[in-house]
Amino acid sequence: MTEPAAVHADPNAEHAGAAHLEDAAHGAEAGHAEAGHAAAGGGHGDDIGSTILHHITDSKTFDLGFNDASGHPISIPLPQFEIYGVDMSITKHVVMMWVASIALLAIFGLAFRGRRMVPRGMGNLLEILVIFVRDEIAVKNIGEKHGRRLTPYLLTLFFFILACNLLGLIPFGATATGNVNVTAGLAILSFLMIQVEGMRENGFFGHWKNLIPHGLPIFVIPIMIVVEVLGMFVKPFALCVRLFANMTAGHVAILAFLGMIFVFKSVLVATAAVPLALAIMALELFVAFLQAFIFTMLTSLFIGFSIHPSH
Amino acid sequence: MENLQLPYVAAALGAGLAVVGGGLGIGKLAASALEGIARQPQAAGPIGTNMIISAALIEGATLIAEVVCILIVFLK
Repeated sequence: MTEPAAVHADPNAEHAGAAHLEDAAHGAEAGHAEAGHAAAGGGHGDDIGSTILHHITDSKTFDLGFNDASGHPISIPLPQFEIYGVDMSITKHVVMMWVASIALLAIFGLAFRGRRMVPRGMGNLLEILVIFVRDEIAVKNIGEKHGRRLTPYLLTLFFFILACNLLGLIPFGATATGNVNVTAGLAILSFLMIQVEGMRENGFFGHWKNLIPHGLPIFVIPIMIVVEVLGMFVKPFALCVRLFANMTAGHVAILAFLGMIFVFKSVLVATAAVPLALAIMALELFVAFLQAFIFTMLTSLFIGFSIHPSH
Repeated sequence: MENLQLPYVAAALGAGLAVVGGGLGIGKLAASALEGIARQPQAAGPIGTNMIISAALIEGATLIAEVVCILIVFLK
């Protein structure tokens, strides 16, 4: 990071050394602008890597995305505190998760107020998604009896991930699901659901006995136990990394295309970069739904495997 | 000094190779699924669902490789 900056600074120094008053003034101005933007958390040119990183990582302030009169970015500081030495600070992504939860509560509360049998307007759209999750994801993978019982959990998972994904695409938003800690939390919940439901249905020992597939020669059993125990942890790990990587990769791609404008320092690049970024944005919209579906689908699939081990 | 740039080369090559693998896998999967749907159009629903699940699993492996490549760059 430091090397390109040094290379970049050299021509400026030469210009100043040539004693061209205009150039020196221009250089100073450019330097000032650059410093201002770097302070705003959005550098230009050489600093594009850190700009992208700033947009996708968590932070202790909530940036509103615009500057005040003196050019300083307006950002709301968030409370930082520790409970028993554990960092429980409120961060940008925590706020976005709250926003997602409140938005979901508000949307569902408004769409289904009055408890009529046939929903109207927004309720119709949400009903399609709810019925889809119940019939195509829960009941199909887990079975009629347990599928209906577990539908609330899967619905919560689906709509929470969907809301978090979509909030990353709107201005001033941040993708909470683009934080590996958030997806790890969701994956741990899924892991617990898979194990607990398996034990509930097959009994504590019955569940662990399913680690050994039936009808195998004795000498293969130790290998199979290792493989099955590994698989037990790899499944939620893959869930976690898949969601995190998908959400992060899309945002990095959008920012990289927009960053090209600043790297090449030309407006002409924008004619190509902006449509490309828009296309990725449209793809992201699809990916937001797809990843929410995939996470829910795979969770219900694994719960189904755990409940009905013969499958 | 040139050696310091090697992680970037490694990360870029790794990212590209991971995409080659994932692309081949998902391409083969989609080809077979479409063939199956063409032969038996009434099975389009279940085939499509299973195709998306398999694609997600392949993509998961690819994305883990991509995350490793990003980590190479960030942790260099």
